[in-house]
Amino acid sequence: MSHIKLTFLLLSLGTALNGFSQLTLSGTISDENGNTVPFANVLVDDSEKYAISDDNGFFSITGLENRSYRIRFSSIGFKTLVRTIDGSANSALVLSVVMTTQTESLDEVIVQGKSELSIISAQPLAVSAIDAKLFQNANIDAVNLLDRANGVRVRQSGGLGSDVNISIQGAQGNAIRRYFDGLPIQYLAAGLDINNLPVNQIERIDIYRGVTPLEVGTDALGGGINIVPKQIQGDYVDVSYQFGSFNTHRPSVNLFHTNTKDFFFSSNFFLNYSDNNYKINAQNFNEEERRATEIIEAERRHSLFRSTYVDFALGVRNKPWAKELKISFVNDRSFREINTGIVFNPVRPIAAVTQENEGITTRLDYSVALSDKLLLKTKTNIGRYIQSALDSTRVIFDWSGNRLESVDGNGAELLSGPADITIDRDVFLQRTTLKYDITDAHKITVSNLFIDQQREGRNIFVDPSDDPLRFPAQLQQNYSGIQWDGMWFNTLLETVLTYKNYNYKADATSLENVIDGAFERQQLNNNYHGANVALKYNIDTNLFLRGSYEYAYRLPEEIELFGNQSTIGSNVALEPEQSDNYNIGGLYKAKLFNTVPVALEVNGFYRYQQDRILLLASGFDLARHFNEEEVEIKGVDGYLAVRPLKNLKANLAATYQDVRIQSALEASEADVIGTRVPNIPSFFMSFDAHYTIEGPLGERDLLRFSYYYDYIAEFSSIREANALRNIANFVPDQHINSLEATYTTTSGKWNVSARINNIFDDDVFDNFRVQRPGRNVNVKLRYTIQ
Amino acid sequence: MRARIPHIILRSGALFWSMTALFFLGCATDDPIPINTAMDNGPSTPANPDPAAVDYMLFTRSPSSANGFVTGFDQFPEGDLDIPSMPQTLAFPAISGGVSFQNYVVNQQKLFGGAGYQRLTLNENKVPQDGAIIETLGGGSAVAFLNDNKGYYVDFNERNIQVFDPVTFIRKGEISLSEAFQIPENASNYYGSLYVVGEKLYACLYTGRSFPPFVYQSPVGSVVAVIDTDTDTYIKDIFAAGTKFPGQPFLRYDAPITDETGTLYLPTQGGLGLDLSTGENTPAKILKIPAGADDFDPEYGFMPQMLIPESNATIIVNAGFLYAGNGIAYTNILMEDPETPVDLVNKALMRWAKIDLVNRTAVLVAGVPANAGLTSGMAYNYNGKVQLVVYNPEEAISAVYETDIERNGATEKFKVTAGGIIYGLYEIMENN
Repeated sequence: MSHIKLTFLLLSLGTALNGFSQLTLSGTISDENGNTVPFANVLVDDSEKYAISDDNGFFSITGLENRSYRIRFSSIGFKTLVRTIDGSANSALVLSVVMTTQTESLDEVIVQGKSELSIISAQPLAVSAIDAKLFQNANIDAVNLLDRANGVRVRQSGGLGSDVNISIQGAQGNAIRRYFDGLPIQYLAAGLDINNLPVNQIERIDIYRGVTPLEVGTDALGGGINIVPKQIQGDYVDVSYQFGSFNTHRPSVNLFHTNTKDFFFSSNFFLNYSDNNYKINAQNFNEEERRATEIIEAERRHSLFRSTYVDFALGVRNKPWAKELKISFVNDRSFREINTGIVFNPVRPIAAVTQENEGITTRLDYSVALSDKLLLKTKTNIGRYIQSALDSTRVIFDWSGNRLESVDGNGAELLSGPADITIDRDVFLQRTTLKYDITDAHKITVSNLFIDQQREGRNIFVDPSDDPLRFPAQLQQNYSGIQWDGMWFNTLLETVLTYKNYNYKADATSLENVIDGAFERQQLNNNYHGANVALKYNIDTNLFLRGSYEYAYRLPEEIELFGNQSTIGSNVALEPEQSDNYNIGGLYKAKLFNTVPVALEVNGFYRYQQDRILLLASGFDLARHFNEEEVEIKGVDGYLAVRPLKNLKANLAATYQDVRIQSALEASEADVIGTRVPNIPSFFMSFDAHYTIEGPLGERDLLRFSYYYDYIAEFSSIREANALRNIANFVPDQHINSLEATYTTTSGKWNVSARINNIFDDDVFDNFRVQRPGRNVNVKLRYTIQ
Repeated sequence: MRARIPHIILRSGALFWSMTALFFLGCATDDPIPINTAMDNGPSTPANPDPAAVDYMLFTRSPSSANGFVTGFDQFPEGDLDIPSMPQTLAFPAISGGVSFQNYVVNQQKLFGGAGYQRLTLNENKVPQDGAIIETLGGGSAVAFLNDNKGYYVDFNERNIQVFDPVTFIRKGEISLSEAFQIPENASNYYGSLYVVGEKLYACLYTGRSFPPFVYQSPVGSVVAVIDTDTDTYIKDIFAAGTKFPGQPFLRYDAPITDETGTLYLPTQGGLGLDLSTGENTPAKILKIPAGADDFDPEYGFMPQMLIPESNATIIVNAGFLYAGNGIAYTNILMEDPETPVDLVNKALMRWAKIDLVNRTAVLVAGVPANAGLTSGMAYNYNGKVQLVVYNPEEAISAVYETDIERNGATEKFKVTAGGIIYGLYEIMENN
């Protein structure tokens, strides 16, 4: 990569994270002999800002406010250096940094991380980050990015927009919380989620494998992901348009403008549209004989997904009374056709069930430095969301699209009865965080998150006097805690100690008996305590070890406590899920043969989860959520990154996990003790390699070829116990190969990429054997001005 | 207080509704609607067959999901059974149990989930083999065999009775019930239980205001359609006032219910409608359609629970019924009232009783533990004996007890020590 391009890239890395553009910090890093130190990490404590030095050891970080900072310089082969700067009276500071060689270490190496997932944080917590900016030109979405991280497995039940279940180190489902800009995503908008966010709207994705930091986390039992939206300063335009197979169209726009008085305006927009009508293996249906016949390659019908998102924000930065004050307005909506339940029906698709969301959100962000050592941040969201679903016909089609004559009239395909349901949700959410620097080495963070959710609904197919949705329901959650970050022995040892308090109050009316239509108002108020401790030991600049322990809770959700007023009953006696999480790992960087940079990260994890909440059938009428068995999770994950040639990089990430049931509350289920939890693969891995050609058509243009490979080992979709292996219950081994080519013009403004996913058209499944897209092609055009 | 797991019974495919992603779980499992079925003592496995010519299939199921096991045996199972460890056991996602015919068993749903009937056989190693499927459009829980060439089944999608070929297991037509009785104001009207007696097919109307009809709601009591099996045509409906649905809740509850003369005994659900809070406690009764008649015997309405002094229950329900011979039958008697309807599924509130249908007497079968009758109300009469299935969650018992009509006591024949709850025990002809 040429100097200029790299500088541009690194400037982007360093500056786009935040936008307080009063102080610019730049400089050059060299060693004792005056040689420049490229690719050194430059981290600004107490901020999300960082940079990586370029080929000439140059770095630059903009958007810092005028105050003191502690800057940490680290690079393989050098001792970590911490310097404190005073920027209170400057608009620019230029540093000359001399790093000392770690005599016992290997030569400096250059590693940017596995799968280009740069590790931006070397915290004691097990956290890694996917730098989405590196993929802005690629035909890849956030789900794909996340799925390639070690320890992470993303299960998706279909194409674009389909439901997503994230597993991190064996924990999955609700145990893994998703956050958007540090707030729980489920309360922020109408259907906004990682399954529909274009990568061009994302700055980075932080993956917390275990402990989530106080100012992000809520009740994440087994970790979480935090999607950091694109944060821009100056004037910026980013327009991209992706299109491809299955009539998929994904335009995305980012606009940002700041005036000379630090007032700014921004707007983001994206649209997702896909018919998702990919080919699947189904069976013809002989209606007369009522039997499935030959296997056919059918089009996955009735799977359309469409979503739009637009936001506008106005704000000001760098005022004495406000580090940042921003007000945002968001409107988003989504529509999807439902084609299958969780289990794929190879004979008859669901043909007329739809789901729709719409929401308006107002958000206020405010932060202010109350003193040199005390920082206050608040985020407040007020949203009104309308969710609706339609399931009101018994018209049935076969997979060839033929309408069956035997079925007609009112009815339902998924639900127990005809439904045209609308639910109004009002959500208020507020997080306040205070950070206090005790000394350069120690700081205290206090944070509180309050969520209030109220809902009320109706089903027009039900007489209002009999409609259980009419009962209003309210759920309040409060998460508070205090965190102490410490640094000891001149940065040799870093510690994090956190206490968390979980509280929820609920007031709702639940359906206690669908047979006699009995409803009962329920009120709850429960409180729990959790804690975690994390350590990181820097053995040398090539190697660090870190470990953490967390005593974590995941609170029952509204639907788990009170049901859904139709087919899921209440269980107010539910206990929260609890887990003891242990993580230990290390990162080692080296330079093979003095020329080939490599990085190796290995993590071990152990979890013991109790009172897992599962939905189970219950009696005549309803399913209910219950605390079920205890589960033990053991495993190891890791990645290996290597750059054998200047223009060639390769990454390998792999995870082995052993997730087994350890107790059964019912004697008749004792046979499952010691068996694997179904629908969780025990091994999966990904590999990718990238080769870049510099100047193929012009002086500074770039052409990059990428190859991606994913493997998921077979696993059973049901509890096998120790019975004879029934192959039909197993989701077979899956191999997915993809290719991509990306071209960037000399100016860097225009980019075009083309990607073929699943080039061999292998069968790909969701965990429950729901088929996913086969071979498909996507093209992306992108234009940026900065 | 720790939330306790209840035991599964019907509608294991309870549809997962929410306005979020939970929406999609709707077809996780797809048990048909838990209404009723039973079949006659028709031409399935010959009575008293050569023990060497028959095999057995045992269905067990997880109490917390539809997952379960099917195990093949070449001898009648005995002793303690560790089902998952047996070499002739296979796991399936959707175990419901059903009925047997010749060399196969019909499971009430597709073994890998979904609405339909699927049959299983055993291979030479007695390992189950999943086989042909009849798809249903709306689910179903009734199968009856007229002879080796014709069988009937119910599809909740419509009132008509479906006709199929037992050999090929393919639908081959339907019997129109367009003229049959229905209650127009009810959302659900379908004939959900089938009994073959001689040349007649009796089909019992299940009707209710909702779909599915959790509560049987009929102002005219039990309704049974009479069908001529020679022509497969509807003849008429017959009625029994003051009663409810005259059948059993699941296909696996199928058992012979016709005596040696051709008299058909129909146990009505009674309080099984479970409108406990509405005050509509219609007692369960055993009705009969005498041999040669095409209508209910208006003088016959037997309530054996009333003859069991040990029973403290005020609600009279029925769960399981087997005619064993010489006027002797077996049924579950409710011993104490449930606090909620689900208790009938989760708690051992019932006891097996031996009843004399002619003399109208009833006595508890000694030596058989209390039973969660709406989970394990299955009874069989293989090898000239009577087998009674027991599931007692409090005492962690899932077992089969054996007795005969000559005595009042029973002894444990086998017990499942691992592998779930017994959902069916079937005698089938050995594959040659």
